[in-house]
Parts: sequence; structure tokens; C-alpha cells
Amino acid sequence: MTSSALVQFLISGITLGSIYAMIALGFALIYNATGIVNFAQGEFVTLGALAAISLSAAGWPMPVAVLAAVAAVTVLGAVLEWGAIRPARNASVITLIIITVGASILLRGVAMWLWGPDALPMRPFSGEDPISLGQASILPQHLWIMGIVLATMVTLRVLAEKTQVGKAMRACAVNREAARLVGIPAERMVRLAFALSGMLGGLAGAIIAPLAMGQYDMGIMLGLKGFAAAILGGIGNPFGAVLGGLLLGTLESLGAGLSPPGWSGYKDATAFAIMLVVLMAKPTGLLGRGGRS
Amino acid sequence: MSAPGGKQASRASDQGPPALRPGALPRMRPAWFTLAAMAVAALPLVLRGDYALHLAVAIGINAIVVLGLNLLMGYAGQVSLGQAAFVGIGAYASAILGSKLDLSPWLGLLTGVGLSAVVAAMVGVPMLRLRGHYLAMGTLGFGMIVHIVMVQWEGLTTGTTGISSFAPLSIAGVKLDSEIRMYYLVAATCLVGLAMASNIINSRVGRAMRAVHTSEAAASTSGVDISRYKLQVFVISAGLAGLAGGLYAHHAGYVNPDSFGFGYSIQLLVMVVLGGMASVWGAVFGAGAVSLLAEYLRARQELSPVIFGLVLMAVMVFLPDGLWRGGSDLVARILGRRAQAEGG
Amino acid sequence: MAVDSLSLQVSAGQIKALIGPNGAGKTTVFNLVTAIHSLDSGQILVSGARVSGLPSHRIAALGVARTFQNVELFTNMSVLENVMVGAHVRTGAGLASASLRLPGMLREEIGMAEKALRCLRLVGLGEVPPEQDARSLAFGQQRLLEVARGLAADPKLLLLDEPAAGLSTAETARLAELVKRIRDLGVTVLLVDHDMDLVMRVSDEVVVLDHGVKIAEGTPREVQRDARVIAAYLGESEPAQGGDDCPQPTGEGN
Repeated sequence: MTSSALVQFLISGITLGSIYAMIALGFALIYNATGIVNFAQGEFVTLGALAAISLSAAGWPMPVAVLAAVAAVTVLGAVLEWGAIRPARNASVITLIIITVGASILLRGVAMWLWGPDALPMRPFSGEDPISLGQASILPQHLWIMGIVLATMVTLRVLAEKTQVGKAMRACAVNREAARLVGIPAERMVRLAFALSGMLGGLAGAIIAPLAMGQYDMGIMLGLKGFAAAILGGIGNPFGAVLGGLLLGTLESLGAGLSPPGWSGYKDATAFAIMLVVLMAKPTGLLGRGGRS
Repeated sequence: MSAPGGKQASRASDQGPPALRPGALPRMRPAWFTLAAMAVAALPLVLRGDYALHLAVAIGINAIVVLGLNLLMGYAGQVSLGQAAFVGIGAYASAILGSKLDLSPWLGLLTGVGLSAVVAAMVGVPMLRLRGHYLAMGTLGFGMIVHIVMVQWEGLTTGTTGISSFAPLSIAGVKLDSEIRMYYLVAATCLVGLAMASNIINSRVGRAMRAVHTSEAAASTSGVDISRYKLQVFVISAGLAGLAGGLYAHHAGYVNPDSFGFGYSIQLLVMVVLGGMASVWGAVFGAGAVSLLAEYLRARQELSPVIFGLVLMAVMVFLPDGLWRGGSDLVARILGRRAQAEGG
Repeated sequence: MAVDSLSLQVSAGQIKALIGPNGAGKTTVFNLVTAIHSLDSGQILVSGARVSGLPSHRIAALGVARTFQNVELFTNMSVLENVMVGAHVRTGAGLASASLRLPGMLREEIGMAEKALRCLRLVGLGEVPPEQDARSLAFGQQRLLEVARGLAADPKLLLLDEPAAGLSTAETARLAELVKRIRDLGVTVLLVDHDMDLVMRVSDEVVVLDHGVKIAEGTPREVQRDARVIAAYLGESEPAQGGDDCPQPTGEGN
């Protein structure tokens, strides 16, 4: 493989990985707060993408469209927690998982009902002309994605460390009962976790849409792979989620690029194969510390 | 108490006369089973038209898979989010052997069951060391990979084109190529599966599996080989899924990867949980309820997933034990209240 | 290290008690014997046969049964079924005979059920309807159910992990009688508990652990008088009976 091709694959890999990182972080937040896997995470991505597409097509300025779409999905995350998780909070883990599965089916249905089954395009944020890096080229949208994801991660990190709310969430993740004893409202932290996951998913959808288009069922694969990334990095560990996402995206992209002709269709299997290897070798993932059981 | 003499009487468990009341040992009551068998046999007289029969067969096929999944999840406490893969293996075994090798369809069916079981045994050994969410994601990953292989390995499976050129099943020269004939085959298989599942649950093996579910420590120190029983129930559930897959292939006459993806795995999971994991009847009921709901909604295309999702969520929130247990509890409560009102 | 250089011998047919302050490593000893934890060094022998390194279910097959500090019942099964699991290791019906409900399997089932009923009667649960859900039993009864389960395996050695915890005085007295009955039937008992009354009443010998190390061993009376034991429990040196070297209380302080 030529070096320019390698650079090309790396660029798309890191871009993809950034998206996976956002989705994986969403999984990690909810898992830390509740111990359950949110099967509707992928649908947050879908709805963020489709909402941004509609709003920008309706003439809204791009930044406003994106922010509005993300805000809407953030609220949706909180509503999901309020409507479906909170009432069933004492149920078994499998019941809660099924509830999120039901939510994902519901949201996918809503997406198809409102936007139809076809893929919808979206204008890139700042133009389509590639910027050349030597032999390779990078699209402005790639830079937007990497930049926005980086900024989001840094902001969240700062919030987690410096603010009361951030510290409270971290406390809940480590030991919920102790946190509650100290006066931290665990229930509110759960809702916050869902809202933040909604925000992360919605943002991921809005920024990937110009490259991948928006479609009612785009969330299924993205969600599953985001989850694979979370497992790879160590579910329950936010850094792990980000690391896992970047690693998975890069490996998937390189795998597709390096595979012999005719085998590229198997690229979707890369993510799951990696996940299985991690589960067999070290289920707690690269950076996992065991987390909640 | 005087010290007893002799080795026999000195064993703690040999003291005192036995007194086993009937009903102390649980088992499926033969009356219910006979009733169900009769109802199933008579159903085609009530149903009119091939469409209803077709639906009944589909429910029966799903029920066979769900029986196995119910054993795995409800009784042994494990989880599988990739069961569709085993159904697919069974289906493709019948389809490929039937179309490429012109093998007897029954042999193809048996091979499908055996292949599913073998794959489960191989995958299960490392996989079942995982627990909870990790096991769920492991089985999910496995299911996704099998599905991708079904789509990509065109040399073997023709990919998304699908296979349809395999001979139908036949018994004593009579081809099972009509809905009514498939119905009786599937119904009989389902009833046999139901009986066997119930027998397993109420046996030494079943108790061992159920013990593993609630307390691995107590089970193992009571002599239960945990890994072995987990693997056994995983293989059984895969075998049942493979059997259902073979029957599916012959019922539909056509096999294609779309039917065996993540969506179907989730649908099966929903059937088990919705029906209620604590009873084999609940499992069958769940298969029926979800299949009927999905079919009812399919005609009303636009909002069907929305309603399906809503129903699913509502049932889980209000009846977390599933429809079967929740429904019977509800009925019991209503009857209890009425008896109170009348007696009071 | 939870348990350090422990050398423990239990003679057949005796009741031996393992006591010590909290965190002394008593339950760890049980977990090591039944292979819930793995041994770093040393070995464990039961009737001369080496069990260390074997998985838990094989150790059970060799005749070791136990109860748990936090009652570990099979809450998804009935009282009778719980005890029948105890007999798992003495029976052999497999998948094939179970699914087809063959006559041999049925005979074995009935045998197991009758044995389970006998064990229930032995521990004093004979009046409880056997098909009742195990989790609906009163706490004291749940503890007895665990003992019945252990006995169903025809063990040579029964490990009782804090069987008296949470029991009333009357229940503890009945438990003491039960333990003696079990010993009289030829089962060796190794008992861990904090209830000194029970321990002193039933034990032939007592071993005292502190911080994973054995600090005393002997008859109940000998151990009661041992200065090291008293020190371990109280944290300061004080003879059992009053005497001239009794430390005088200082002015204030509690």
C-alpha cells in the first residue's frame, strides 16, 4: 500500500473512530450510572443526523441547525429516562435492557415515519473542496469531525473534574450507595447521564451526516460498533471508551484498506471480531478496572 | 439418640421412614399437555385459509427456538443475543445440502441440528466463561459475524441471492409441501419439544441448571459442574434453534441472510422475555403473542415499529415478569377480589 | 494475606470449631477447602485424599459439604428441590434419561426426593410443605434448609459457616442439638461461629484464628482461658478471672 493511501485510510479511520468514540462514551456514561446497556444509543445518532438534515435543508444556518438538533436529542435522552427507565428502575437488568430495545425499535419507527426509508444528504459544514496533504487529501468535514469531537471530549473532561456536577457523576459511577449517603441525588445523575448520552449521540449523528448521509436505520450498526468500542476500551471507563473508539475506527479502516480484493465486505465483521477477542482475553477491556457488575 | 450400629443407618439421610406426597415433585401436568395437544391438532379445522395456517406454522417454528432460549435464559440464567445465527446455520444446512448435494431433506435437517450443536459447543467453551453483559455482547458479536459470513461467502451461500432449489421434506413418499402438512410436522415437533423441555427442567439436570442460575457457589459446592451444565444448556438451545431453522427452510422454500440477522435475534429475545422466562408455556405464549403482534402491525406499515416498540416498553414496565406470569397474576388478583366481595 | 501458614487437622467423627475475631480468616478457610478460592501454597487432604487443586464439584463428590454465611439458597426452587440439589453428587441421571423421563430416572428421582424428605425431617423442617418456595421460609428455617441440603450429599465432612448468626436463643439451642445429632450419625463437623455459647456447648475441640494465623487450639475450656485468645478478642492483656494484676481503671475515660 502506498504511503498516501495509508494516510488516507488513517484519516478516514480517525474520523470514523472519533464518531465511535462519541457513541462509546454515551454507552459508558449510562452504564456507569445504571449498570445497563442502552440499546437505543444508536437511535440518538440517527435522530441527531436526520434532525440536522431537516433543519439545514429548511434554511437554518448550519451551526444553529446542528445545535438545535443536538439539543432536541439531548432532551429526548432525558425524556427516555423519565418515561421508560425511571418507572422500571427496580426491575431486573434484562428487563431494563429489553426496555431500551423497545425504545430503539420505537425511535427507529419514528425516524422512518417522519423521514421515510431513503438516505438523505446533508451539506458539509464548510465546503467540499479537499485540502491536500502531500499525496493524500482530507476533506474539511473530516477536520470538523475531529475538531468537534476533540473539543467535546476536552470540555467534558474539564466539567467532570472541575464542576460539582461532574464530580458528583464520577462519585456515582464509583459507588452509588455511598454517593447517595453523601447527599448526591443519584436519580438526577441517571437522568443527566441519559441526557449527556443523547447529546453525544446526536452530535455524532449531526457531524457524520455530511459524509455518510442520514437514514432511519443508520443507528443499528453505529450503535453496535460504538458498543464494541466501549467493550474494547473497557466499559465503564470514559477514557477507555474514547480510546476504544479511535482504535476500532482505525483498525476497521485499515482492515478494509489492507484486505485483499473481494474481502472488503467483511469489514463490518472486524469490529465484532475485535470485540470477541477482547472479551475472551480481557473482558474488562484495555483500560477497564472492572466497573459495575 | 443412641449411636446407631452398622454403616447403613449411620448415613444422615437414612434416618426415618419416607413419606412422599404426590405433587411434592413438580412436573408438567399431563392433563394440560393432552389438552394442548388436542387443541393443536384441532386448530386447522378452525382456521380458515392458508394464510392463517402459514402464520400458525411460523409461530410454531419460533416457539421451538424460544423453548431453547427459555431454557438458556429463564432457567439457566444465561443470555444469548445471537440465537438467530443458530437458526440460520440450521436453515442453510438444509438449503445447501439440499441444493448442492441433493441429499435427503431429513439428512439435511439432522445435519443442521448437529452443526448448530457443534458450533455452539465450540463457541460455548470460551464464551460461557463470560457473565452478564459480557456474555450478552459476546453472543451478539458471534451472531453478527455469522450473519456477515452468510452474506459475504457467496461461494457457499450465494449471499443475498438466497437459495431455493432444495427438495421438500417428505414422509413415506408424501411431500410436505403444503401448509397443512407442514403445520402438523411443526406442531408435533413443538409439542415434543415442550414435553422434553419440561422433563429436563423437572429433573436432576434441570435442577442443576436452575441452581447455577441463582447461586454458582452453592451449586458447585453441592457437586454441580457449572461449566458443563452451562455448556449443555447452550448446546441444547442451539440444537433446537438449528432444528427450527431447518423447518423454516422447508416452510419458506427459500433461504436468505436477511431472515437471520440481529433483528431476528432481538425478536426472539423479546418473545422469551415478553412471554415470561419462568415457564415453558410462557415461552410458547410469548412466541405466539409477538408473532401475531408483528404480523398484525405489518399490514399497517407506517406506524408498526412505533407501536411494537411502545407495546414492548409498556409490557416490560408494567409486567416485568412477562405476559404469562403477569397475566395470570392479574387474573388471580381479579378473581381473588371478586371472591372477597362475594364472601364479604 | 487472608490465611497464613495454617495447619489444621480435624479428626473423623469430631465436632471442631473455628473461632476468632472478625476478619480472622475463618470463612476464607472454608472457601479454600471447597475451592471457591484457590490455594497459594500447601495442600488440603480429606480422608487422605488430596483435594487442593480440584474444582469445587469434585471436592463435593469426595464428601465435603458446606453451608454459607449469607444463606445461599436456590431461590427459584422449592424447599424439596433445594435439598435434592444436595443429592446431585450421589446420583447420575443425565440429559437423555431426563428428557425422555425413563423409568430408571424416575426411580432415582423418587429416591432423591425421599432422601431429601428425610434430611428435612432430621433438621427439623419436617412440617414444612416441601413444595413451598424456598425464599418464603423464615430466616432460621432457611439456615436449616442449607444444612439439610448439605446432608443430602451423605458427606463425610460438613462445614457450617456461622449457622447461628441471626438465630434466636431457642433456635440456637435447637441448632446445637442438631449438630450433635449430625455428629452422632458419623459426619465430621467443622464449625465457624461467633456464638460462644454454641461453640463451647457442642465442640470437642476449638481452634482460634487471628489475622489468618492459628493462635490457640484445645478443648473449649482450655481455649477460654488462653491469654492470647483473650488478647485477640479484647485487644489488651487481661486474665479471665480477677486478680492482683488486674489493671486499675484510670481517672476518666471510657
